[in-house]
This record gives sequence, structure tokens and C-alpha cells, in this order.
Amino acid sequence: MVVPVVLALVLGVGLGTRGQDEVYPLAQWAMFSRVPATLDLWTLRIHAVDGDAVEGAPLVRDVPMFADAFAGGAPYRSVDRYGRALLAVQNGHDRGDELARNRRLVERLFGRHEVEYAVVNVRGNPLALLDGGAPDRELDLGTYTTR
Amino acid sequence: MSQVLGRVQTAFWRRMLFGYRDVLADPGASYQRSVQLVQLTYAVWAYFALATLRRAPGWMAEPAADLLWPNVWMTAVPWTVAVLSVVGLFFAGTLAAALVPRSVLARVVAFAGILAAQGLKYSYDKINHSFHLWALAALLLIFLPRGDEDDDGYKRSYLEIAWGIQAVILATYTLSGLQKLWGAGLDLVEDGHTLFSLDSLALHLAKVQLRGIEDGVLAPFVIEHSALSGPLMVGALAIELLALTVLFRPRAQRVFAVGFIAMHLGIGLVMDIWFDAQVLIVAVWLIGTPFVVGRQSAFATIYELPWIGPLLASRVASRSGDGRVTLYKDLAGSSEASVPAGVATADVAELGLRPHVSYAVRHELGDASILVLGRRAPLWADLHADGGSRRKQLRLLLPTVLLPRVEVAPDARTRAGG
Repeated sequence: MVVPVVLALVLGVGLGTRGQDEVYPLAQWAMFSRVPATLDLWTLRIHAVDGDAVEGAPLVRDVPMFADAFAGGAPYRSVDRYGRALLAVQNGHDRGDELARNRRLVERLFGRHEVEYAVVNVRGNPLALLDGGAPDRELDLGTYTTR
Repeated sequence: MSQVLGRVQTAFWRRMLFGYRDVLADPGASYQRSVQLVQLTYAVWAYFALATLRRAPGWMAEPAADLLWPNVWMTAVPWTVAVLSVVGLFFAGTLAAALVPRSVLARVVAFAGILAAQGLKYSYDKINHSFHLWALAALLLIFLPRGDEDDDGYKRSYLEIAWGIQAVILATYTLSGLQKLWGAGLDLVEDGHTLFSLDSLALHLAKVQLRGIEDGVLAPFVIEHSALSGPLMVGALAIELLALTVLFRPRAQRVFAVGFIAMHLGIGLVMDIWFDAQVLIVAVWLIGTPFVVGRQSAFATIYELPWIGPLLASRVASRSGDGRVTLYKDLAGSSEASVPAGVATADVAELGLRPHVSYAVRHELGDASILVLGRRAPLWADLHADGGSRRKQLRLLLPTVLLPRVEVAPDARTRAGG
């Protein structure tokens, strides 16, 4: 009798918790179930470094001198939170502390360089974006200079 | 009414558990293997517990902010005492269960320690699913029966728990497949780009890379050849969806286990996500399956693969046979049967194959013979072979997908048997 009960729990939680938190030690087992044909990505466009304009204002991941510093999950999350908090503040929500904290974390990644950058949200096919293609849509939240 | 239902139920289980007929008749060898696997499972857990001990100082230094449900009690006692209790319970319980797996107390303590220690680990970080199956196995093992080792009924009850562990392992793969199928439906509605798209896996990899996370060593190759990636996803989907079916096909479990491990290896190489612990439990409980003990023929193993088994098995038999045909699966077990030479429909009642086989037809191909066994009239019995032509043989094999009752043996002149 115990086998059907445990099996029902495994299957029930797996199929019945869609959109909710998993119930440890049971899970949805839904990794990679959706194909990201379109990706929303918060990132930075680099306009100038130490007073010198950067041609084409590339995305930060395409600027060799900053590519390593911005690689990895932690920098991605900082930029992502920075962009979301900035958008929220511009929309009148009270997320100023979060914005200041994440801006500080992100700007620390530039080291001692004075950088003029724009916070942007790009949307497009991930393969095309990775290949340096133009995004389908880009939201520019303004240009800032490192403090 | 209840008699009808009872008959249907009996017939259903007789058919579903056909692959276990030998085990159910004589559970001794499978029981012995299961006892070893249970002890090995707790030994592996004790190893995991030992490896966890080194985390204790870090846990003691800083309490977890968001405790999972098995650990909420830890806030009611001094934190250091709570952490030491958890890791102590984990190690002592699993070690005791490895040493004395027959002790219910040891198994209960082991499960409590496992649940609490893994819960504490995940309270600091995101939940890692790789150990979930090990935890669920430990839960099922609490319910191992007590009884006389000489009693076949006790052995079958013991094997039921082993079968349950396999069921849970296989169910998670099928769940993953179902979730992907569900996701594909949603993707189809939203933008038409599903996992059946040629570049589906490459899209996942590109997304991860754009988020600044390193992919696996093979990721650049897959992204560059993005059209190859969809078939890999579909292959993974197929093996996941069919996983639960091999619960009823014990001889196919090892083949699927190798498939799962290959899939995890591929995911590791491409996405740098390594399910080490999951691979280990697949290896222990499916490659080491207690339900296939002793030497098994490749034919019987391949024949039990869902859908493609009969087709592949026909090919294997055509190469390796020695003039004798063995009737596998739900045909006639390993019983012997004589089939007249030449293209002819035999009276299967005389062959003693009823009720499993309703017809038998033999095709001579010069260097090989094809024995066609089935439950309905042979739709292609009029296909005559000509002079050992391999092409002809392949043509004959094609319908086996639809009529999977075909076996091939080289030069099986007048006799077919186990």
C-alpha cells in the first residue's frame, strides 16, 4: 500500500503544483520545459570609458575590458535587479534603497574606470542576441555615470 | 460485477507483470540482490553524511534565514545544538541503517536525519533536486516488511518496496517528460517555438550565456550547430516519457538506465549541470536492478524495449541465432515450438502456443528464416522471400512496428524453440 501512496505523492506534487513552490523533497521536475524563443534581458550599454566615447555603444558583455567582470551569475543578478529597481522607481514605486544598493554593486564591477553607461532592457531571440544581432525591442532607462 | 472486475484486474496485472513471472515464481535471487541494494543505499547515504559533516562549522556560524519545513523546529533550541543534532542524526542514522538494515528504528532515524540535513542544506541555498530520489528511497525503505527470510511471501513484500523505489525513480523522469510536453503546448500557443523546433536546446544555451553563466564544454558546438539541438531535446523527451513503462519491462531497465545516464552526461557537457547523485541512484537501482538476476539474452532485453524492441530484436536474432528460435515476452515465454518449413500457416493450437499466438508463418530467405508470430491474421504473409535477399528481409521487418510479433533466425529449418 505504501508504494502507491508515495508514487501518488510524487506524481501529484509533480503535476499539481504548477506555478507554486515545490514541496521538499517532492518537485515538479519541470526544468527546461519552456523554450526561451524570446528573452528579456537587463543589461548596460557602454557610451564612454574614462572620457573616451565607445563607438557604437556596445552591450557591456561585448566590451572586452569589462566582459570578464560582468560574466557569471552574480553580476547578472546585480544588473537584473538594478534594471528592475530603476524601472520601478521611474514608475513611482518606493524601491530607492534597492536601486542604490544594486547600482553600487554594478558600478563596482567597472573597477576604477569612470564609465558612462545606459541601463537598457533588450528583448529578442537569444541566439540572435548572442550573435551580436540587434534586439527586437530596446527600452532605455537613461544614461548614468559611475560615482 | 465484482467477478468481472476481478477477472479484468487479474488479467491486467498478469499482463503488466508478465516480465516478472520468473521473479514472482521464485523470488529468492531477486530478494538477495534487493537486500544488498538496500544495504548499499544506506552505505551511500552514510558517505553523503560524512561529506556533509564539513559543512557543520559554517552552518553553526550563521543560522539560515529561511528554514524549510523539516527544520523549523531548529529555532526553538540553541542553534549550535540544533545543527549538531541534525548532522549527528544524519550520520549516525545512515551508518546504523547500513550496518543493521533490518532495524526499523535505524531506518526511521536515518530518514529523519536525511530529511533534516538535506533540508538544512537547502535552507541556505536553492533546492537541489539531485538528492530527492535518495530521500524518497529512504522513506520507502522504512516500510520494509518484517518476517521469515525463508518465506516467499515475505520476499515478495520486500521486493515490492524495491519495485516502489524503481517506480519513484522512473516516475520523476516521466514527470519531467510530461512537463516538457505541457510546456511545448504552452509555447505552441504563445509563439509557435517549441522544444520540437530544431534549435530548441541552442536557445536554452544562448539564454544562459546571455545571463553571464558559463555553459558546458560542448555548448559552443551546440550553439554553432543549433539545428542539431532540437533532435537532442526530442530524444531526451522520448526517453523521459517512456521511463515509467520500463517499470513493467524489467529487462529494459538497464538499457533505459544507460540512456538516463547518457542524458545526464550530455546535459553536464552541454549545460554544465551535473546530477551526480541522481546518476548514482539510477546506477544502483536500475542498472543493478534486482529483477534481472543472472545471464540474460540480448534478444530478451532488446525485445522488452517499448515500441522499437521487437524491430531491433528481430535484427539481433537474425545475426546471432543458431538455428533455434526462442519465443519471448508475452508470446510463449521460453517454451519450444516447431514450425513447418516453407511458407505456411501453422495450426498454432498444435504448437501449444495458444492463447498467446493466433498464427505462425515461416518465411525462407535462403540464408535465414523469418518466423512470424501474431495474434491477428498476418497482413503480409503473402510476401515471399527470394533467394536470401537482405533487402527483402528488411522489407519484411518494416511491418513489425505495427505487428510486433516477429522473430528472425538464420537457417531455422524445421524447429523453433528455446
